[in-house]
Amino acid sequence: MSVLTASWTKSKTTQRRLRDLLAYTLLAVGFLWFIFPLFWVIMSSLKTFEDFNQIPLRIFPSELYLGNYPSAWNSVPFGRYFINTAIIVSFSVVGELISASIVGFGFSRLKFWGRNFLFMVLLSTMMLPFWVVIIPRFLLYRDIGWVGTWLPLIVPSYFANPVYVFLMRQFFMTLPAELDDAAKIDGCNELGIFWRILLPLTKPVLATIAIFSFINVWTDFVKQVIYLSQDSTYTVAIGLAFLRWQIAQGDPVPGLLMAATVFTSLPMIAIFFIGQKYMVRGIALTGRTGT
Amino acid sequence: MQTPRTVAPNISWARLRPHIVGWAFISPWLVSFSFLMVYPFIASFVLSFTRYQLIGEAQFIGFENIQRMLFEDERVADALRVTFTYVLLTVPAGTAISVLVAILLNQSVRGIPFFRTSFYMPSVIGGVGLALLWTTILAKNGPINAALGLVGIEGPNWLFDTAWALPSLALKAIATAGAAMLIILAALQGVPQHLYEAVELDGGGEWAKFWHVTLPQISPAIFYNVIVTTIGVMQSFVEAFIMTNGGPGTATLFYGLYLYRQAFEFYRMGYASALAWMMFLIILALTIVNFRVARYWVYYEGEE
Repeated sequence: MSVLTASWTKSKTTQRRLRDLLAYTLLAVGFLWFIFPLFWVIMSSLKTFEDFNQIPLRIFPSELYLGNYPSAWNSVPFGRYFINTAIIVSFSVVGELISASIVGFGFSRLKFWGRNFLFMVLLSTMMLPFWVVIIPRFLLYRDIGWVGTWLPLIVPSYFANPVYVFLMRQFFMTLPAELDDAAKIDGCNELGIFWRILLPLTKPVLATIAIFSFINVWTDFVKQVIYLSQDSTYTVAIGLAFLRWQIAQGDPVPGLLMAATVFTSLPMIAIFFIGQKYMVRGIALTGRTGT
Repeated sequence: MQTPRTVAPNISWARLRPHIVGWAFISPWLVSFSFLMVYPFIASFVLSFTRYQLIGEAQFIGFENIQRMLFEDERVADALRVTFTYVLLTVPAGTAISVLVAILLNQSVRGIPFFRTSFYMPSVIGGVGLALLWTTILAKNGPINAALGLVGIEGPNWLFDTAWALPSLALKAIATAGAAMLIILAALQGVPQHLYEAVELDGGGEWAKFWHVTLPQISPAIFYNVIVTTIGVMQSFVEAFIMTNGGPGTATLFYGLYLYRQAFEFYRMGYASALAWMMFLIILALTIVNFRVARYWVYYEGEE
C-alpha cells in the first residue's frame, strides 16, 4: 500500500481532491434534498397563519409561534390516540418477537419433514399482495366479532410475520451447531436449547424486529382505518388523517397540521436514532422493512 | 376411517419426535398461513363470483363482476392507467436514483455516516405523516414553487392540477425511497475489492470499474428492488387517500384506492374481491416479466 501511495504523482492527489470536492458537493445537494422537507415542516409548524400568506414565501417564521402545537393537540383527542397506539404497538411488538423467534428457530435449528418446502412457501407468501387477502380477513374478523376492536391489529402478530421469521432464521443459521449438541449432552430439550442457549444470543436481531414492527404498526394506516370504527379506539395515524380532512383541501396548509405531523412523527424519529444500527443491518439482510 | 395398522410398527416415538417437535415450533406460522393467507386467498377468488354487501347471504352471480370490471366499469380502466403510469414514473427513476445515491454514500470521504443517516431518516416517518409533509412541500405557495419563482417560473398547484398531481405523488415516492438506497448500499459494500484491482491492472479507469465490476455485482440487488418496489407501488393507497383523495377527477385514482372504496365505502365485497384478484394476476404477470427480462441484465456469480 505504501509503495502505491509513494508512487502517486501530484496529479493523482489533485485528482483525488477534485473527486472529494465533487462528492461533497453532491452530498450537500442530497442532504438538502432529503432533509429539507423535514426542516420545512418544522419551520411551518412554528408559523402563524399570516406567515403562510406572505409573498415572497418566508423560510423562517416571523416570530417563534408555538400556538400551533396546543391547538393541534386539542383539535383531535391526540392524547387518547397516543395511548391507544402505544397499547397496540406494545402488544404487537411482543407478539412479533415471540412468534418470529420460535418459528425462526424451528426453520433453522430443527430438522423435520417438509421443512425446506414449507420455508419456500413462507418466502413466497411475502410476495402476496395485501389487497388480495384483506376482504376475506375482514369478513373473518367480523364473523368472530373482532371488527371495531384492536384484536385484528394485534393478534396476527402472535402468528409469525414471514419477514421477521426470515430475519430470525438467517441469524440462527450463523450460530454454530455445536451449541445445540453441547446443550443436548447436558440434557436440554429443544425448548431449553431455544430459550436458554440460543435466544440470549439473538438480541441484535430481536432489536431489529422490535424496531421494524414498532415503525410498521405505528404507521400502518390502512389496517387501522379498515378495522377501527369508534372514536375511543382510534390511533395517531387516523387522528392525523382526520385533521387533514377537517381542514379544507386547499391552501395554505396551516401550521396546525404541520405541528401535528411533527409530534406524531417524533416516536419514529426517536426510534430511528436509538436503533439506527439495527435497522440498517436488518434492511441490508432482508431487503425490506417488514410486512 | 380405519387406522392403517400395518404402518404402525415402523413408526416409533423416537423417530417421530423430531418431526413433531419441528412442526410444533413452526405451528404459529402454520396457523396464520392457513387462516390469514390460504383461506383468504381462496375465499376472495370464490367471492369474485358473488354479490355480497355484508348483509344476508352472498349471491352467486357467475361472471357478472368480471364482465363489469373488464368491460363496463370505466373507473377500472382509469385506475389501471393511473397505476401503471405511476409504476412507470416511480420504479425506473427511483431505481436509478437509489443506485446513484448509494454510490455517493459509498464514497470514502469524511462524515459519510452523518450523510447516510440524514438521507435515510425522512423515510422512517412513513404513512400519513410523510404524506402530509409532502402535501406542504407541494402546496401552491409551498417551497417548491417559491424556488421555481426565483428563476421566474410560476409553478402549478401540484396536487390539484390534473396534469401534475400524479407526477407529484411520484416525486414524493422517489424522494422517500430510503430503504432501496440502503439495500443497494449494502450490495456495494459487498463487492470484492480484488475485482477492482483486476480492472486497475488492466489499465481500466473509474468508468470501466463501474461498468464491468460495480454494476454487474450489484445487479441482483437492483433486480430485487425492482421486484419489491413494483409490487409495492402497484398496491399504493395512502398517498392518494391522504394527499389527493384520488383527484382531481381520476388523476390519482390508484387501483388500491378504488378497491378500498368498493370494499370499505360501498361494501361491494364481491366486486372488490374480483378487483383484488385482477390485481393479483397483474402483479404476478409483472413479476414473471421482470424475472424473464432479468436474464438479460442481472449477473449471478458462477454463471457463464
